[in-house]
Amino acid sequence: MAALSANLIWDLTKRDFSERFAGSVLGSVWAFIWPLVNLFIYIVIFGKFMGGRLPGSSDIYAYSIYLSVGLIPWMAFSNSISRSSTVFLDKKNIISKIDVSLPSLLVFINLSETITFIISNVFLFAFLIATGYEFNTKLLLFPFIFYLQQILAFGLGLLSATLTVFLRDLKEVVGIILQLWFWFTPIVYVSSILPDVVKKVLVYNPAFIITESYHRIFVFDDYPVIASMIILTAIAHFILFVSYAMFRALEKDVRDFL
Amino acid sequence: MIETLFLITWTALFLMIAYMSWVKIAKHFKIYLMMLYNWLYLTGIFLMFPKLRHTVEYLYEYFA
Repeated sequence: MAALSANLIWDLTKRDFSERFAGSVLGSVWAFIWPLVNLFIYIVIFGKFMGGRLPGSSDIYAYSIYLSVGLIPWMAFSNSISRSSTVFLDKKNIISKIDVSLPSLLVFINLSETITFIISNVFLFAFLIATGYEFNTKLLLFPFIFYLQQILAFGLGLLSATLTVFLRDLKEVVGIILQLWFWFTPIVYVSSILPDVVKKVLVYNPAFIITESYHRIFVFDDYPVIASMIILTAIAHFILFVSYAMFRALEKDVRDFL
Repeated sequence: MIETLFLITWTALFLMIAYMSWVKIAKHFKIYLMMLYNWLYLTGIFLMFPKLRHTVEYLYEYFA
């Protein structure tokens, strides 16, 4: 297997941004405009015009913050998995020409989505400061929860990328699963509105544990549930281990298929 | 303060261990070993971080 090259990953990440906005007058500035527009929609449209409120909270911005801290990480998670699922097919011209480490192609996608996530959070934190939000030490956990989330995304992305080479329909299946997964996770709604039977199943949803952790530290000024986080950390690494072991076993076939 | 100090120390410790392993351990074990370190690193943070302030206050009162 070729070495995982930091230079290659960085070049691909830069190219990903330049290709996305190639030919446009504003270029990479669009990378800042998109998150700003999304945040405007979450805060002004959902929070102000539609009057979204959190149960038990009188703060007019509480729902906007609840929505933003759930949606921004979800976009990074969802895009990382969906883009990873076709990365070997999309980059087959590179793979066939140079001896590139295939997992590094997934690293560049995760890195690219992380940069978009950071840009979105710069605007989110600017909004929080402007509205007089009280910052607390629990927020120091924010990057680590995001890191865990991206490890899970990497593991699932590697699994789907490997299998999509052999079964191309999986690309559509991944898209449908992510869409269902989004609505099964309390990101735009609160979990308390769900029926009891759904709440019992919800605790087995990894995205719920992650989203709930963001909500607890940002909105409810509380720590994430320790037991849930430790179990999820173990599960995310187990998925990563299985995905990587499976990839190693099938790597030769993947290259032959491409 | 104590939380920030813990995160910096914990991260530096794992970076040092990971670097030493990366240099010395055989190539095909590296990725699996990094997964193991990563798991321990995050588990340590999620396990210790919420209890940190309480533990430090308890120890301070105990020895004071």
